[in-house]
Amino acid sequence: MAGLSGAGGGAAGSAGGGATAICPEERVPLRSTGALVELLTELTLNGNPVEFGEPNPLAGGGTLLPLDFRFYVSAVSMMRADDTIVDVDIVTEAGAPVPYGVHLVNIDDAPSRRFRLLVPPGSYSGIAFTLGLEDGCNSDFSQRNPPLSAASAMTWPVPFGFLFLRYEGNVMPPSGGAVPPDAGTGASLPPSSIHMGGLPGTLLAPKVEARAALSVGEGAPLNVRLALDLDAVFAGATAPLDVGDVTLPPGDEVVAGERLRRSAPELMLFTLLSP
Amino acid sequence: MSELRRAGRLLRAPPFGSLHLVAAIALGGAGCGDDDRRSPSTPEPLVIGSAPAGFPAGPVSKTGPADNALTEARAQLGKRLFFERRLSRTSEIACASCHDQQHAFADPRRVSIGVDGRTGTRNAPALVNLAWGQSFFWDGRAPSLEEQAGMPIEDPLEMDLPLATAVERLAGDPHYVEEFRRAYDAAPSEETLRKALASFVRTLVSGDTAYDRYLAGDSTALDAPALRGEAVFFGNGGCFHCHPPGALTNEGFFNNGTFVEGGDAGRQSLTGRTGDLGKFKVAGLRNVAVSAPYMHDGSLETLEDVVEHYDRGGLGDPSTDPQIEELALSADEKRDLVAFLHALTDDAFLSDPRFQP
Repeated sequence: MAGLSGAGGGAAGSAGGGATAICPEERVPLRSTGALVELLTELTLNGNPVEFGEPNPLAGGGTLLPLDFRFYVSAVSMMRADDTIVDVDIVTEAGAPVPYGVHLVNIDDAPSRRFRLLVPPGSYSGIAFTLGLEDGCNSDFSQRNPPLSAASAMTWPVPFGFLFLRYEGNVMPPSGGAVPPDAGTGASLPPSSIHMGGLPGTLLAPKVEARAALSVGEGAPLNVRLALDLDAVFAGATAPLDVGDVTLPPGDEVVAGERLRRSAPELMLFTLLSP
Repeated sequence: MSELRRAGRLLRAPPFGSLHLVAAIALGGAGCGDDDRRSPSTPEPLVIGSAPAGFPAGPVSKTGPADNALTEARAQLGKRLFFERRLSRTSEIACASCHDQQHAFADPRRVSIGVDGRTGTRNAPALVNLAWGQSFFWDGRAPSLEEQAGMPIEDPLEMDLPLATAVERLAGDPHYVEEFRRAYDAAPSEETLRKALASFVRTLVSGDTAYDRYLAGDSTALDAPALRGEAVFFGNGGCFHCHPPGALTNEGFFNNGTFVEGGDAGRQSLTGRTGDLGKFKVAGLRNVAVSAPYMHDGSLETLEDVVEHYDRGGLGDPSTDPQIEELALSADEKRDLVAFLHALTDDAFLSDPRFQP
């Protein structure tokens, strides 16, 4: 399959930025042919795969029991070695753009951990994407379909938009006993919850990258693991940043999320790995 | 936050339509057509209206799955089955025995009483807006209404009747045979029995609460305590984490602090995972004021008890979700929160004759 021209940013049909951008459920495909890149998301902690729903050892002792972890992926681009990018669609198994151009990863839901890109064959140096929603999609979940419905468990009170990333877990210190939620207080143990979201037009979803040489051929789909480093997530959520300059929904988990939102572009949150 | 809340109301008002209006249009339209030829004994239509605020937009008629499209004949058959006592071993218990319309199709008893006086282990949940549900039962063990519908019939603590026997009973009734033929062009079967019940449950749509009217732009729909309660609900009460605006449930599973050691393990009974201990499905809150008692075990008798539960941060088991923490709400905030919860009552739904036998 020969890919059509898709080089360059801001191609027609992409979600686009800006508060006035729209968010159509049915999207115009960026290209009609290409090769499939299938990404399987996973969490890592201390460099090891996380067993979701079970206690995982923390580096400093104690355990982390992940209870909920989900995030949106949108506006995906393939990066080339010369720093040009190729916008690509997240597509269904049938090859059509996914609704709203958005994929919701819910680590507790195995099928949702996998998503597919329709990519022009070629050599790439990695992928870039919005960790969350483009601004045009980040409002009005009132009567939308999945993954932008209330059942996403990613909603916030109006006028805030959606959560971009949601994490909750029970942290047990080495001595046992539950740790009270203290996200962002500088404690050595990780926070027990992080809610990273945005305010349409003001607090935007961060752009993130994952770099690795990828050779996309015209044959079978290229399978890649997309690992999210929980240690990096926690580092961002507890970064010594003053976020008092914005009004947010109440809660320490929101402060942690805002710190992560601001830190995310500089963190190595994601890594591409061989299957 | 106050400016943001005001902004929120302005933003919130336009997207939501009025179910009242939609229903009126639907009924009015029917009145100009088929209804004129309807005999006096023809039941009022069940498959009308659109999704309430907060749920994916679209008509109720489009909520059925591909292999069980929601039709009037299927819903009417399901309604008859919902009140059918012969679906229990002793022919004494119907679905409606534990799902009472006046209580939002919940059971006012802490746990329900099945055949031979057997008591269940969990509170019968309300049946409201389940057309948009993602999973069913407190532990989510049924992924569809069609799968859910047969389980209480066979449950030894509830109706205790093998589905095969239920089908035999229905197949012996010429009226049912005709209704199944009309609905599914087939004889009664376990599959069509479950599908018909699911179809009726999909029509139990509630979207005309004072809160809905407020969302639709009627600024007078909520009184002052309810308005203040709304601010607590979507503010420092933190209720919005699991009960988002509009839908009032995120369909998730959380340990909300009702679990105590040795108690009902909830979703963990299905998955076996440590992290699922004490997790139960987040209930929708429309008509919550009439669906007492509360929680999976019916352990909290009043809305005031529920608010106190969350205010203290649950019962304190280490398995509790980290979002459940002490709130330190004032007495006024608690009263206002309860006032807001009362504003979620849809009186028309609770007395709608279409849902009665």
